[in-house]
Amino acid sequence: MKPRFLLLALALAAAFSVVAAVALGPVRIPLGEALTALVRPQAGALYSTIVHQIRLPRVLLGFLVGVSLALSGAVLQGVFRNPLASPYVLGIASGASVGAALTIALGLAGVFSVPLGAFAGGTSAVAAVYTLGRPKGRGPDRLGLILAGVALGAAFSAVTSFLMFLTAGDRRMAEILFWTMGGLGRAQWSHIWMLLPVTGIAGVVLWSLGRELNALSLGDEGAFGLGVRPQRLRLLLLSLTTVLTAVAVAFAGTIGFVGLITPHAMRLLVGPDHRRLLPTSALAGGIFLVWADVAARTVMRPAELPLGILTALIGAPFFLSLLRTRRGGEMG
Amino acid sequence: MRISLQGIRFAYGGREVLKDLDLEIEPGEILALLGPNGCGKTTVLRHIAGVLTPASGTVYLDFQELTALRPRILARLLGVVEQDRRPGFAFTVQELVEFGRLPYVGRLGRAGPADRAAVARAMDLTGVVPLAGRPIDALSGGERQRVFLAMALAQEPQVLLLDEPTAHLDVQHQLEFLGLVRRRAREGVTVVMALHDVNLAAAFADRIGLMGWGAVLAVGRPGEVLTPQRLKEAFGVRCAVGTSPATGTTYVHFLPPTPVRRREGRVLVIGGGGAAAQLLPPLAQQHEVCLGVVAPLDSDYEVASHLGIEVITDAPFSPVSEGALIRVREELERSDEVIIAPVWVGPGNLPVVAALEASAVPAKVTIVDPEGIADRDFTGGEAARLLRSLIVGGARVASAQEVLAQRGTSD
Repeated sequence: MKPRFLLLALALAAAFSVVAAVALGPVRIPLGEALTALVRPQAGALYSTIVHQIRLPRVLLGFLVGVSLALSGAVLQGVFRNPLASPYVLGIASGASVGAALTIALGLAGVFSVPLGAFAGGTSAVAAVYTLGRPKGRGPDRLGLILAGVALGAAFSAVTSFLMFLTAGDRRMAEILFWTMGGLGRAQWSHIWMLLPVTGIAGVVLWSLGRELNALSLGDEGAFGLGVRPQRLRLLLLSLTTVLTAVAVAFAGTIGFVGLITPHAMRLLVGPDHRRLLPTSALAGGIFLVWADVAARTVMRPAELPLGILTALIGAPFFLSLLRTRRGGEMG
Repeated sequence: MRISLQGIRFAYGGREVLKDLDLEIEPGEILALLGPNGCGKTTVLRHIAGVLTPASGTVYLDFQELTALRPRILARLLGVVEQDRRPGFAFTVQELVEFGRLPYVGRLGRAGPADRAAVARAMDLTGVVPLAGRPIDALSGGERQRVFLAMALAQEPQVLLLDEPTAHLDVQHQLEFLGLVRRRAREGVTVVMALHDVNLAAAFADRIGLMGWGAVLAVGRPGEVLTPQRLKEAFGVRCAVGTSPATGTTYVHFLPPTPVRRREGRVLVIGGGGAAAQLLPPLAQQHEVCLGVVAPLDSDYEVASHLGIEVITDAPFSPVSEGALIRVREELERSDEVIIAPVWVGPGNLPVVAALEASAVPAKVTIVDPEGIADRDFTGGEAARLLRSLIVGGARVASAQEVLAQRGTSD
């Protein structure tokens, strides 16, 4: 498929997914009514209220979180020249979990305090990995960063588990557990207004760095030979993806697999050129998460499944099937 | 583009790799860097590429300090091909060659007609057009190197830096790749390449920089630089150097290491006309050997120069000169042993035999096959008389086999 058509198709699919996801839920709204409510909101009307107060912020948050995670994953797979890298490779998820768990355990849980704690925890974790993952007196290298991410990630998970152990039997433990499984249940319009500019700006900047990201896949010396300063570019890319991921995680918890499989699947469709890969991955990630959330809301109605469970359940088999179809040597 | 490295010092960790290295590369020439592993060839290339910054010293590109140039400007001047490069993802050949335009197109620009033309030309020159849509990881080593050469050429560089570009290629692809490079050089591109293969370097380079332990030992035309002495100094290996009859270029033949139980002693071999050809290689393995008196183009001379043996030469088809005789007498003094090969003796070289008879200690002399002198004497019996006189004085008589066998057992 021509990448341009794929992009157009994905944009249309994204628009349709938002409308459809707004219509689906415990109260089923006919598609036409949902569209009307979206386009012409009427104060006081039942559907209009459900759509604008409850469903739309949730669907949009899901879309933006999916976009952010898939973009981060695509960029980090490029930075690490490894299609198995995820947005969480530098320990951001475990760091954010510690931040959120600490906020909850200290009894400070609130609409903004938990996201703030998660954001702080996630970004500090990456800063720690970036500082510790380099040989003395030199710039960070890929392997060092990945290993430091693994090591610190394990330590942070232990801290989260310890906090859950301390709060066992308490409402706070359930809250921590729920947060770490990820979900869009607490979506608010204010979240959208904070996430939208970050995702938008980071997305455009990352896309503009696509050619340089391509050059980076030749290794540091290869990239330098094409006029790119690899250390500087890597720092810029890691900073952007860290903010992008941290904001997403702050509002939705640690949702796995979107950032790992979406770029991988899109690479099979449009090839590894990041100028094409980044926009398609972003849209596909958003769509995926919107539908995963529809499933989370509906499969066990009226109960709601944590979103992280669903993405992993859908993602893992899909990912394994991709692994089996890849050409030899691609992971090299 | 002229490249000048002045007083470059560089160390990896604590290990000093370049020690005050100077090197001048002329515009449009192909300079091959040769030297043993770890001597700093790649480090030199990485300094010219701007990847490494010297601890002290300066690299100039056309008299401009390299460190003053931004990476993007450098990328328009220099194209680099490494030994083997494996991109993290399976980009297509077309995409990879287009990467070469990054220094021109930049972050947000669009590729224009000039960019497309440069890519098309680079792909055409390297013959990768039929591969355009193939992913790089589906290509053979030779095809991959041509793709990366195409990427470098798409940068429209004035300098090509090649680091062991043919190390993983078979013979056909080595020649093909370096042929492509040479054609670029003839269009004015300056080429600096590190090579392992001495003979490839000799065949394709205009000049050779022979490196050893962080410094340039010698720079010059292949025939000037590739001498047995220098190659021994750089690689620690004995070799014979000649001229390839097929291409007319300098050709180096590396020889197995000399036995450790090396027999000392200096041997003067009187040869000529191929009489000493069989004796010289085994003798040269065990002794310091000097051959006299032969003319250049003599077949014994060829053998000796291959072996790196010292030769007392003289003009062909003329009587032995006084200068050559003086050297023969000096050698007689210095040598521990004198071997007279079964040479043809005529009026031209009779004075050499006479000098032996007059001044040699006969006990040092071995005459190979003196019986045959009857057929090889063109001096009316004078040569035979001199040999007899030597034998009477105590010179030994042996066949060629005996001369060598005697060494084999006593060794």
